[in-house]
Amino acid sequence: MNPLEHKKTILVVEDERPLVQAIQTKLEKNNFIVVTARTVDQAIDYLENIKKIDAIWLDHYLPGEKTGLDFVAYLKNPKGAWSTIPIFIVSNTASSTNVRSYLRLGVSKYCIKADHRLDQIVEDVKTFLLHPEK
Amino acid sequence: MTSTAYKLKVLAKEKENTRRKLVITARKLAATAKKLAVIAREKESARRKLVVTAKKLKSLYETLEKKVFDRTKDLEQIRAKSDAILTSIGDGLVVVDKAGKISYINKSFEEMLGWKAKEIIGKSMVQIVPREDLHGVKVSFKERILTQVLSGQKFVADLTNPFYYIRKDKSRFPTSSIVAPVNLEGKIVGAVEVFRDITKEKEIDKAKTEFVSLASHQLRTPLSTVSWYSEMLLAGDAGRVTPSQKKYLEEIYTGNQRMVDLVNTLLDVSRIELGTFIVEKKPTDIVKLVQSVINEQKPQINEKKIRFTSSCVNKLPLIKADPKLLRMVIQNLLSNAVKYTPDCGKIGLQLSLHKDRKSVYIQISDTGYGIPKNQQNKIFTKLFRADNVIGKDTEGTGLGLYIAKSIVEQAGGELWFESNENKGSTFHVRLPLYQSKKKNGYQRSFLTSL
Amino acid sequence: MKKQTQRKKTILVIEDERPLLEVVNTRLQKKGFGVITARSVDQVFNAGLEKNDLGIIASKSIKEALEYLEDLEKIDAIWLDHNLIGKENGLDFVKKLKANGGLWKKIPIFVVSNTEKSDTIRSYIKLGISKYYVKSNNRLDEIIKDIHTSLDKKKRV
Repeated sequence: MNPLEHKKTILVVEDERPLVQAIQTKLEKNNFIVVTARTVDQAIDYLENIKKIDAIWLDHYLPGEKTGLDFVAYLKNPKGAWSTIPIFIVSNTASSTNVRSYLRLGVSKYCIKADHRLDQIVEDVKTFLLHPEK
Repeated sequence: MTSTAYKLKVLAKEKENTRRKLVITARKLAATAKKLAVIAREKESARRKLVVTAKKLKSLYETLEKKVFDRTKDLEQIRAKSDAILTSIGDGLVVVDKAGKISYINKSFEEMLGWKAKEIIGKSMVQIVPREDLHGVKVSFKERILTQVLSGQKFVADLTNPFYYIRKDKSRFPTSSIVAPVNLEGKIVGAVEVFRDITKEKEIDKAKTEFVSLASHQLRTPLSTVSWYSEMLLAGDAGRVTPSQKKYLEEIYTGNQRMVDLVNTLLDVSRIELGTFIVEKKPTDIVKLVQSVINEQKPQINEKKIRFTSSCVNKLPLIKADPKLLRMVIQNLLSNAVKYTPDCGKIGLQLSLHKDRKSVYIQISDTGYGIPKNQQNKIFTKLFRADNVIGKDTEGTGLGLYIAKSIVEQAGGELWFESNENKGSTFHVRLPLYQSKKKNGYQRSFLTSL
Repeated sequence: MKKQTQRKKTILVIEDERPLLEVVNTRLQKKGFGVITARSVDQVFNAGLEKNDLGIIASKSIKEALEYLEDLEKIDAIWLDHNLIGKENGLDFVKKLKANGGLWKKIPIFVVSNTEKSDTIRSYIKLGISKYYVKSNNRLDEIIKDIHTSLDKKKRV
């Protein structure tokens, strides 16, 4: 049995290189397998190709015309294969309109990067994935 | 004498009689002629007077005709002018009778809604132009402002909630409208509504919000980078860290945290100024909120050995406010008290119903550094920090009180203080309670010469 | 008559993200390539290369790998990510590869990376790579197709 099968895979959609690396390092240290994408289109491409993605870590502002919001709207299509995948918005914009839209679309959690420690966010993600009913 | 002579005498007498009669007659005639002459003279005079009168009347008539002509022209001009004014009003205008039927619409109305006057005059305004909210939920006849105003109710113009008018072609646009009743001798005979298309305003608003959102993202990204990498270094993720390295890293981390706070505060200020601060008012339990803020400050209070006393009423009616913002105000005032009071000082917090029974009263007093008299008038201005605290070992952005005051005033309350340098300060807040009734009706009389 | 070698082309894929590595691996194999995978420069040159039934080789050191490879297999192309596990990145790999000389210098290198930094791209081009793909600008399918086409063309030349 491949020991890797117990690990969860997270798709991190974030454009800022230094942040991606920090996030990737922290997540891997916490026993996650990490795939990174910089744009919504790239993220969708990966989702279509990679069989098992257990959660999505998503920023709001991304290069290209599509924002995180467009991506979540796409994912939450009830006819699609990813409508139940847990989504964590980790962004630096706190605009209430955006927050509300995300929550209304059904993301699992929304937090502001600058206000949180990285290890805390990763802990929250871990906890959430272990106890999704909370 | 003979009979001839007698006959002649008789004849002469008869002739004399006749002559006398003739004379009398002549005299009568003369008198009559005189009378006739007088009458003729009078008639002539009257005739002459009539001629004069006729002439005067003619001239008066001509003057009147001209006056009528001029006046009609004036009225037409006035009418043309008011028509031009009504037409050129960029806003849509509709006048309805007391049954709500349209009696007049201006050109802007036609252009905005796609209806021609002749198609809808006499029809019910509320039916011809449906109104709906953002999600397409139609506003019922009863709820329409026009209906309420016509039935004598005072109405409230809710400018925060966007409503949409539906055009003839079923498309819609966001509107802002004002309705006023038309009164004649104390009775409502109709109403006038003026409305405008606020699509542009909403777009500008959206652009402003996006701008602040993007700015916040751009500013916070490098801050997050520094923050997380310092965090990881301190956690040993990149290898063991020596004690002095740890110290330096902690300075970097702390300094960065201060920048994060400053950026957050600046973003709030810019939202307040751009007017894009979304205020989500809901009935708030201020007692709980204050308690929570106190608990947050407890560690610092204890560390500085400050004697803290609070006298909070157990229960208070709910306040209609945005709890997030209200929290910011209380946090700011309490943390200021803690920051600017030296060790072993005293801080008191009071929370009660205001004596006017319509608001809540909060008082936070301290025995701290106080604010110098000559700087007190600047304390609520942006980025201002009084001289007597800049030197001390305290940090502050100088924006907290500016934001606090803006929030309190936006909520309809007041924020004021008294202070003595080196003796302490006392800050007071008054916040109005939650009122579910509509307040401040709007009514305006209209001249009926329309 | 010249006998045409129907030897399977082999691609060395160096990519740090495992799920991507797996996908590219599978896709390339579907296209008929043999695949060797690695996640770090170290792994290629010093540690080990995983082998699977279709032609993936495990090796413990670069020397070993190179010898092994030169004897048994020929790497026809390299799919290289810029950000890799460990201290060395794709640029370091290319430098090391070119330094090995011989056949290694001539292997076409396709850099497939998230980085769009012009400095980085320029450095790669200066070192002599065949093509640079920015991951976020291309679908995986397209990159694979493109590499396939390039290799075909090369063969015909």
